[in-house]
Amino acid sequence: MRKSIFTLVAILATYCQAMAWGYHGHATIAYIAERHLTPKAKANIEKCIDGRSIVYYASWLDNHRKEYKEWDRLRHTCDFDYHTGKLYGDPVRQMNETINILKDYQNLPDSVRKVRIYHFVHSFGDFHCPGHIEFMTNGERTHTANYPVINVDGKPLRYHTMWDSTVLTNNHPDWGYMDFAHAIDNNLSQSFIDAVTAGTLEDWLQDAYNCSKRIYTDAPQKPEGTPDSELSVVSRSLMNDFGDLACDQMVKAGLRMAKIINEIFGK
Amino acid sequence: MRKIFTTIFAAALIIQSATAWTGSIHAGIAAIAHDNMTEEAKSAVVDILGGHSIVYAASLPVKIADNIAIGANGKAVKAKKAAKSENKVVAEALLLQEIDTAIATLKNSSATKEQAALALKALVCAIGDLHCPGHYVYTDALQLRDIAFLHTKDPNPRSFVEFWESAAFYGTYSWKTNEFVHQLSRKTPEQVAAITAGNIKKWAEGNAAAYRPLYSMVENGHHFEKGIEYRLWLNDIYPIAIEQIAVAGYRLAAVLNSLF
Repeated sequence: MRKSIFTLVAILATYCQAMAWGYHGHATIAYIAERHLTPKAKANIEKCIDGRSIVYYASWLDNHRKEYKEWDRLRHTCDFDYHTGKLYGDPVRQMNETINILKDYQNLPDSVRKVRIYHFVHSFGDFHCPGHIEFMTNGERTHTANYPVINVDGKPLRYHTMWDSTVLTNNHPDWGYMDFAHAIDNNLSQSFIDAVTAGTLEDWLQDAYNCSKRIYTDAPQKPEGTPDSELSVVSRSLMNDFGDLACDQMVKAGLRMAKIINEIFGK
Repeated sequence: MRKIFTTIFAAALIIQSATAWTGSIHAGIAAIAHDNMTEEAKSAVVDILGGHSIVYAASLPVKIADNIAIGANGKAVKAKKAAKSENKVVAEALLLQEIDTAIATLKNSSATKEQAALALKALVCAIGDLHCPGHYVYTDALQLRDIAFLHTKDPNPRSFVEFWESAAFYGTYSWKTNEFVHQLSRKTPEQVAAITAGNIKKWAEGNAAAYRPLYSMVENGHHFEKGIEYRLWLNDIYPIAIEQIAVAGYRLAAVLNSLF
């Protein structure tokens, strides 16, 4: 029975189109990145997207995915072996492909350049969303935020949805992306920035793996004797705690995104 | 006591019946304007508003006639002549008069501070509404205002006019006041010159021509049964809403710069 539930979960996880960070998460990550761009990199990348901010396009891939079938098929979720941390699948290859293509941005057709930028600013953020790190054990998906449904403030909510957006909007209902950035990206030390941005995309994903394990180990639990029909309740303290993790991941994503954009567009 | 209740009820009706961009969008338009105003204009506004910026004026609701009547020839018309049989529409379609009155008050050196402040609030609101497609009454096709559609997540039909006031933008973005500036106050001087060329009446007639095809983008009674169908439709709409918000901000700045 247990195995059949896991199999069902695996099928759901494969076919459900997870939406990743919601609007606030993506916009905040892109805005943090923008704050750390060199003037030259900022000017060059904005020139490629009709003078707009990269923040404008942070959720573009979610909104327009059905018009661009090739992007709709992309995995927004990273799968790791729960015990060894081995990464499965293609997300790194897909992201590296986009980064490598953008390195020649001055010679790309306008439409290709734009869509690759949209892909980068969106999916790079998703790699840092704890709900988008899932785990396999012996080849089977055993930990996915697509399941279960939990109770947030008396309402049923998919655990995945909580990680995409509610973890931010529940803790800070009135904040926009500038508010988030002001609160979590304020006077960061250069040594902190250097530590966060050291390494490669593969290293950063391993960091995401390490940070995200706890969303499963610390997931809300039902007290013993609670009927099956009742959902696990996310307490205020747990929501605050998870909010800290989400904000930490957004800062990392923004700083790392800025590093790559500076390398490509700052020359 | 009864009179007090009647007054409160009437006030509530006025607020509820006001159809306009949401207050947040009006504030965003004003913030874009502030970002493009001359120092002289900013000082004059601060003087009139008792130390507050133009964004403050946008945040205070004022009751104005917020629709504009457009005749069959595409020209802005006196509503009473154009649509006698539609009393409700006629009564509302006086937006250009509101703007003229507000500008006249602001030019009048004998107007009191209170009168000028009220005129400024009305002007901010009216220039914003001038750039909201939901505020145009096509007197040769009044049925356009009856278009309503149903969304899968929405239990009640939503009028196309109401949709333009909020969901056309908020279905995609959720910007706060300063975020409108960050996103939209980015036009080049050449773009600004093109946007602000002409006068208010020309802007209204240009908008009227541009907005009319929008009403063909959904059929009356259409039911968006699937979220993705609604999303695809929204993808055609939101860039238009965003551009109109930006244009409104630049034009409001141009009006205030020329006044002060």
